[in-house]
Amino acid sequence: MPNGPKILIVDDEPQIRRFLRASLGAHQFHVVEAETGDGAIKTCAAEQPDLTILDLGLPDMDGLDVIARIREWSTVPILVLSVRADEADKIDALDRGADDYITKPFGVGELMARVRAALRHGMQANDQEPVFANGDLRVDLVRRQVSVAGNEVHLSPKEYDLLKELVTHSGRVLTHQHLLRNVWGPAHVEETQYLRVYIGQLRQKVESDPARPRYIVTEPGVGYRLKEPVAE
Amino acid sequence: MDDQSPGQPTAPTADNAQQTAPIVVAIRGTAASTQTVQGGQRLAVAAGHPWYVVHVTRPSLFRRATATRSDALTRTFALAERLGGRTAMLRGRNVARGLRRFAAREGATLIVVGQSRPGLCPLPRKTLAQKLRRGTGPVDVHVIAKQVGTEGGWREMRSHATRLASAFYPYLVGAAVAVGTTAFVQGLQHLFKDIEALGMPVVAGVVFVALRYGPGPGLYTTLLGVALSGVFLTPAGHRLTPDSIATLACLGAIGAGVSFYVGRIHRARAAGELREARLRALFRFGRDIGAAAGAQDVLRAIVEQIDDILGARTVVLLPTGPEGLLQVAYPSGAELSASDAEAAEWAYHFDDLSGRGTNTIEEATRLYHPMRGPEQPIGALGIGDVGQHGFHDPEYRWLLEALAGLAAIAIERADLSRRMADARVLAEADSLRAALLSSISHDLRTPLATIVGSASTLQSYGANLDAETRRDLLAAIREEAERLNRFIRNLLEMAKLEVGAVVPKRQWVALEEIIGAALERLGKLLHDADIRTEVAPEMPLAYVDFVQIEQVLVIMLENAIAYSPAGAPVTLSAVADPAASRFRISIADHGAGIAPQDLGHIFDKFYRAQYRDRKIAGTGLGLSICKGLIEAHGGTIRAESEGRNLGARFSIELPFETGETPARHGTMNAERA
Repeated sequence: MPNGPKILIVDDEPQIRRFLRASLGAHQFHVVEAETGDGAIKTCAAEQPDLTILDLGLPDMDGLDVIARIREWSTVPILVLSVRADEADKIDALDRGADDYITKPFGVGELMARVRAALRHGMQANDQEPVFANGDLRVDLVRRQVSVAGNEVHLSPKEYDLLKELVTHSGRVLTHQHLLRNVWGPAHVEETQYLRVYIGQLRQKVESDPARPRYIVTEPGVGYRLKEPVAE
Repeated sequence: MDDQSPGQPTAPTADNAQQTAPIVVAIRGTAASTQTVQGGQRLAVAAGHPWYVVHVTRPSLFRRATATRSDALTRTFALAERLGGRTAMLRGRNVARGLRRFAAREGATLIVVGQSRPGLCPLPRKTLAQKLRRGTGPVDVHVIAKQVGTEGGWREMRSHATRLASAFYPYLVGAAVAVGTTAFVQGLQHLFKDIEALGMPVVAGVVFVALRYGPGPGLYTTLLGVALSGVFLTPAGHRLTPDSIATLACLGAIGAGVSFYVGRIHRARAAGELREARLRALFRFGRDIGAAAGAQDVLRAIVEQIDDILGARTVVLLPTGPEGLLQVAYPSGAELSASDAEAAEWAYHFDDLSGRGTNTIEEATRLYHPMRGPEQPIGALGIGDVGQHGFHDPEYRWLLEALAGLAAIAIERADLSRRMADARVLAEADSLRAALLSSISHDLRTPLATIVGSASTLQSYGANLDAETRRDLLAAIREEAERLNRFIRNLLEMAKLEVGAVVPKRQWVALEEIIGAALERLGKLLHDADIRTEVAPEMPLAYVDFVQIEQVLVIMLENAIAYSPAGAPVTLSAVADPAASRFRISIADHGAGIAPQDLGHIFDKFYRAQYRDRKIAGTGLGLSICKGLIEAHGGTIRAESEGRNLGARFSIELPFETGETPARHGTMNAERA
């Protein structure tokens, strides 16, 4: 019996559940399943999982409502399964309290990266790793130092704030609105052009090829994600 | 100044809900009307409302306007149009009622009128403004005060006096002629005693007056002439001889005969003028409804023109209701009572007049005239608000019949052209469906065959295969599944474009970022492709839909890679044209190229360049999707190629912004330095 973190899979497609069960089980996760929105809420309450993977298209109720219902009493990380072309749905899900999403169809490597990022976020609320490192990029939150391949990079205060926000949520998608609210303030949530310009400047300073970023990647129509180092 | 409105010129601005309610400026068509128009224009512009200049003529087909009036009217209308107003001519007996009705139809809340002329009539009478205010409804009336002593005012007063006098003028002339000729003959009698009753000069005078001023003055002159001759020209001391009685009788008969004959000529001329006016109206009607494009435009033109020509309120009824019942097709919102509906059906089915003023369903509020096309009944015209006289006037009926005939032809024509367009769309949809089916059966089954085959091989013989073969089969399954995913994505995107559900969700985005996201998404496909990106430094942000433009780049890159030999470089370049506020992204490859005969079709749905040597997998949808998305952004896409095997270049060109949204990134670049 696997004794790793407990993951609740909510999907009405048995094939999807089978594949998720196999791949998550192979990584020593303890898997519980639900087929409906109602079942998801009940199982979530009964089993207290460490992570919920939720498909938005459920037979009995809207996946967005399931998120809202779970969020009434639980802070369990929720990873949403969605299909491309529904950027608005993804943003809606994130706004209602989902932690991240993954677009169908997806490979298992991508799934595991999302699962780990979401789990880590759920487990340590406050004790953030003081140093983020991926490839050549190194961010020291204590000393406020950023370096690429050992060379220190000078960032403007806003650029640093933006990078810090990405680092503290590394591996997770952050919506435009989230970044604007937390870096510029609630009055600026609609000013996405600020964000575009500053992301461009950050990439100029930390990416080797800003046109094909390795660290700060774009989630089209949704937001940005700071990539984590690929697990061993 | 009793006309000066207590209402305020600023009244219309107070209510924001009526921000677009037009202002109606009513003019009399006199020289002073220009002042009214200028005042009305200032009022409308200050309040930001559209405005109409309206003139109401009393039933014009039955009366001619005076020349000066129509000159002034033409000048005033020209002025109004120059100042940005719209103009309208209404016909109706009651000016105030016509104006109120027009204001109600256009949703106007303010009518502007000029100050009434002082008038020569000493009795107090109701001004137009007072009549307008008496009517109910949420319409304010504003009076533009006249500038004292202007030329227009004086001329107008003078012409008013002249008009009054001109009615009596022919009779004055007639009296003068009768008295003059009688006096002349009497003078001759004094000179030459033996000359008896000389009626001829009087006859000449009567003929002159009758020809010049018409039968009324002619007859009047005759009677006066006969009376005067009888009194003054009888020689033997005021006693009538049989001889002079015969002369006087002759004189009376000739005068009456001439007057009667002249009367006929006058009536014939009036009828001719009326007929000419109606023909002109018919001609204009035919021309205007012929120029209308869509079905709704044709209906509107019909109703507006007939309203204008007949001074009526017209509705067009077409059999669009359940079970082919007639329904009001224009103007929308016109009501149809039960008896009206019945009368309209009667007219439609029995090809006959019905409703008000006829013997069939008289209680209806309108007169209904059938509209018949060359082959079948088309519908019915409902004519409302016409005075009782109209229904019995044969000329009126003739005009109505001609209008209904023209209207029927125009409606049938619009209907036919719509049906032809529908048929074309259907035919296109059919060929599209056929192409879609063949595309799905081929392009979706090929990868599925690979997946099923590889998976079943692994299932059955997995244990006997070496590790490398197993990896190969697994890789094939995954690659083909991803290909399937791309096909489905394209089909869905095409379906969305087809139903017009693609509306760009614009945001300020960096082009570099879109390009990066597209390359990221292509991921695996790129592993042995050599993609070179050349993005001009310091590209401004663009106001576009990130996801849609990324999609376009992904499709264009997929195409370039699919049609290139493995390892051949593909160049993606982006340049800005700041002068035109546009940018261009080009993707050039060194692959199969495009034959000249294919260049024109390459963006068509399901079109795929045919190559005997190789068959490229694809739905043939990608480029038409790109075209649809780029055009939704107000941009252009084009393909260039020197020919087969000489590579191809696809370029998209887009505006940085749509124009309605100001570029707001300028302030952001300050910190970049």
